[in-house]
Amino acid sequence: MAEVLRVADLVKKFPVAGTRLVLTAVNGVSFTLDEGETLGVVGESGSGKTTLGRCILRLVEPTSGTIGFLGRDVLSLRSSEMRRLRSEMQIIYQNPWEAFNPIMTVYQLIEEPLKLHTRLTRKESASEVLRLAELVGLPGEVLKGKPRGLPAGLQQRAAIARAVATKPRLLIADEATSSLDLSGRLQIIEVLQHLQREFKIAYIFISHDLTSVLRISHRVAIMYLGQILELGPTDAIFSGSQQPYSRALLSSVFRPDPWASERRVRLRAEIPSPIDLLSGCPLASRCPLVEEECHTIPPPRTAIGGADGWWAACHPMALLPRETWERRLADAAT
Amino acid sequence: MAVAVQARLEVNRLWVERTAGRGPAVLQGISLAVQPGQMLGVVGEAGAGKSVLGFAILGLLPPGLCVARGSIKLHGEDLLSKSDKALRAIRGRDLALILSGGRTALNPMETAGTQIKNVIRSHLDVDTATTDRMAIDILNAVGIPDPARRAHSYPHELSGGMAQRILIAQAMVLSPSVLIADEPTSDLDVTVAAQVLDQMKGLIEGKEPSTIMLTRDLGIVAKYCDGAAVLRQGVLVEYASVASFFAHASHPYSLALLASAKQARGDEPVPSFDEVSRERHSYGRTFKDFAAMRDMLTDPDYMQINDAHIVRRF
Repeated sequence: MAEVLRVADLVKKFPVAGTRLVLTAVNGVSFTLDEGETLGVVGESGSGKTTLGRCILRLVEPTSGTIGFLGRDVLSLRSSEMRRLRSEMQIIYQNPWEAFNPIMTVYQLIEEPLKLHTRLTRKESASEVLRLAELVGLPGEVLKGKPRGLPAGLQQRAAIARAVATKPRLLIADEATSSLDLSGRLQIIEVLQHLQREFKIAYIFISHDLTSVLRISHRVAIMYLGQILELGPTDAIFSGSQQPYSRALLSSVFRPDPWASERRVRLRAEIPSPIDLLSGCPLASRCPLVEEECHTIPPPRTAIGGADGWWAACHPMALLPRETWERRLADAAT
Repeated sequence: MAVAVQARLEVNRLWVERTAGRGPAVLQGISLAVQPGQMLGVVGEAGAGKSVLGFAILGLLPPGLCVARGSIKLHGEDLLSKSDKALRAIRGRDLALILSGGRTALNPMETAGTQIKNVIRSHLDVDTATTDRMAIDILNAVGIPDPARRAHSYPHELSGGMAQRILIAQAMVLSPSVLIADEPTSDLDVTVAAQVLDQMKGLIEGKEPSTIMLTRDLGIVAKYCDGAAVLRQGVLVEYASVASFFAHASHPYSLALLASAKQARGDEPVPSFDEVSRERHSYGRTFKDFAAMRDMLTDPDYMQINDAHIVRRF
């Protein structure tokens, strides 16, 4: 399959106002994404997943690293070129209401990108708006109204219709299902999956909601303090993640089943500040399996057998045979 | 017939309506009961009436809503007939609320310790040393590291998980007999939410309040609760012990909630009844609140699935 996106060693640092301190939001992220593929990006608040999405679209300027999109070097483009490129890379947010112009009707909101990026006649774009509305399951009668007061699920459908109007090759969904009830989440995921089958759009699905990620993603990246600590096929990650943080995160979600096993990898305390990061593994201060070198040396990215493109960054994991490590992980769960 | 054990908290056919009289009632004839040490999960999507139920029990319904019919009894005493003054003496001491929202639910101008001590001082006549000790003890119990120092922190200096622990400490410091937890971890990251809930469960096992957990997360109900009550648009559609609920949920709405929770995870099917009876519910506690169920059953709209499970006819 054709590669759509290639991100390499992406770093974003923010100065902390009024001080000489630096907040590192994204700290050396690399991955690739193919046509028609969904990469789920999972992490807790402060893990840098939103900043990562915004860097890829250059909504914030990365500090260093490279972003290749359809073979073009995104970071070298001028702003006029960048604007044109954005019709091919779109984003939807957690709260669509904040991204809408409140005085426009839903129809106008969906039509707006067509006016900006295509040369359709009025009549052509009218039929295109109706087609898009049908694709995302927006009933015709809501098109004439303003988005205000619509249920969150319909608002999100309108945001999706607007985002895919220009036939993007990449869509970043930043917590796109997080403000919805469970049933609403599943419906939005179905809409996204349907669009992906139809147009082969590549998705980066950023969310802290693991159930949505599990459902929509082909591959999953687990982020912590600006770094990807594990990346691999969704099944591999959800059934046998190898990084202690991934284990802790995934085992913290309670299953709707009172008979489920309760063992959990428990981390100490909470996520440390991303200001003035130490040089070793970002998890070192909380990890139940921490070793000496974790505090000083960044963990190496290590391929894991059993699935294509599966890797994790962890010192003790890299040093131990798989079986021994699996036992260590299992023993760490209480 | 044996005399029914009096539940500590009993909500009886509670109707909450809009004072303006427009629109359907917000709560429509809800009965439930919670015994000491039990946790009842009240589940529903946004707008189901979970928070309204919590506020009605506390006597803190927002303007525009009022209790139209029904009763709420604490230790057998009707809370609805009590004066504001009498309610104020009960709230915070015997009847406590844990809100979600962490930092935003705390007073930004006072330290964590002061906010806990305020609760103690407004209900107990104790000296400063005792107040301080009680505050430090409860901070310790909710898992705040270095509580003596942390007591001097202002909310903005606390992480979301810490702030939520402070809210729990505030609610639990006087060992209330009824605890209402309104989505206590919905704003937290999952690893922290799990820590906080574990700590809360530990405290509840020690102090044995009757707890109502208002939540939309069936996973929390499965892991921590003894009973499950499903609310839909103000109507109680299913009420059961947790074991029976997850094995025999019957109302189409409960099934839809369960299906979407499971589907979303790609989970295995629910265990069969045999497996259910072999393995005890994970916390080993059995469900105790049958009286409210029997009461609901006098309403012809409800039918019985088993002695710990009723469902609204559909």
